[in-house]
Amino acid sequence: MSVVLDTGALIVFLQSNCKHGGAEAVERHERQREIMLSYLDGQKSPFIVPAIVYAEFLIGIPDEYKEYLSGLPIKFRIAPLTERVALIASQLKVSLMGSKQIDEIATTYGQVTTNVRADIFVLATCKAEGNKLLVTRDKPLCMRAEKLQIRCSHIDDLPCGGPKSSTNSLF
Amino acid sequence: MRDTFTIRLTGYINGEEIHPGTLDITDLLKLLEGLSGAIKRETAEDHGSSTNKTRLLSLESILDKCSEMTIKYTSPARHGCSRIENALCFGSMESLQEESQGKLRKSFNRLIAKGANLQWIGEHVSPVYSKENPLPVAKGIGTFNELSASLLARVLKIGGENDAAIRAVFDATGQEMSAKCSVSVCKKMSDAGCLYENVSLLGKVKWQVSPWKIATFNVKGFEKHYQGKSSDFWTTLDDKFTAACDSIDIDKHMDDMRGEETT
Repeated sequence: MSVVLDTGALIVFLQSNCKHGGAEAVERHERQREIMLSYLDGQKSPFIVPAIVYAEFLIGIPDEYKEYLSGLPIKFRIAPLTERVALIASQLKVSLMGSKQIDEIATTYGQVTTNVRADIFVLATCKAEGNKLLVTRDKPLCMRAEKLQIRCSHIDDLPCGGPKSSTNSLF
Repeated sequence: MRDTFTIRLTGYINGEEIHPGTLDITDLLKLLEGLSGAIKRETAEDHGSSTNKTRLLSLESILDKCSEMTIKYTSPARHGCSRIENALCFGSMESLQEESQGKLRKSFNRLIAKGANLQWIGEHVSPVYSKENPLPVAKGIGTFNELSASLLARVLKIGGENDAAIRAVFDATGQEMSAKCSVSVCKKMSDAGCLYENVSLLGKVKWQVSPWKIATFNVKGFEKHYQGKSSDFWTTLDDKFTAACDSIDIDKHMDDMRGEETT
């Protein structure tokens, strides 16, 4: 069973050495990375990275490396923001807060409007991919996912030993 | 589930009275001949060499094609017949894809328009359909066309007996189904060793909505992924790239992007 990675989780996966934030941040990074790799090694499918998450990741690296991954067979699948994801996102927004506007939702969670929009597209991708488990470092996103009945786990809460094997697996 | 079914025809076709009774499947095949290109092809293939049994299977496969574009891996004809039976015996046209509803109605209505009365006799028996009692009206299922889909799937078969196609289990819906695929893409997938691997299939999808299910998929391309363990993947990356990833201040970056609380 594939999982969907949020931006923070993707960076934790790709970042072998944490160089920022002092000893506590480094210790947290190493712990989270160990949990993630232990979890992800148990699955045969590539994990899913929503296009908006990939964009947020690319913003964090220098320009000369932005196209590097496109030439490689990568372990993750970049899920495009398609017509169907857009449709699901619009439905999720309505489900999330009824008729409230995005900026009202953002105020409720103490965030800015663009953050909520990004979250909705991440959640819509999870749903479009068959309600896959979303792995994130973002607690408000976990709360929103729970409200929309989308499976979500903070990295710290991932079970050790990897996901259960998919019933679709043949081998 | 029964292995056979019959369509009872009474009345007139082109002014000629049909002998009342239950038609043998071979006679039915003759009557249905010419109603669609598919039937013509199957009839031509069967000509001269087939037994009644193979003709029966051949007709079932024709009706299965009419019922759905997706041919089930096991017992395809039964699935097709079962859906047609639901449509004809219980008036539940939703059991068929929209395109199939149209094909079924067109085929039967042409016979009815010529004066015949039709009745399906299988596991269940349908009403007698005639000019006075037409087939159930087609009902919309709710579909959504996606022109730029990318779906993760485990490829089980590349190439087809008649038309180029692949068969795969689709991760998003759990469906095992066939998808149209050009010969050139089939060859590329075969050369790239996609068989029994999880690959991203790119193309046009027709979705059935509520619940979301793939109705048809026309594969235009594919992307293969790294097959090793996740923990090994980053070791395959260029040192300079990993250094670039390492340089990201993850807490600050995520705060900039989405105001993420990372504690």
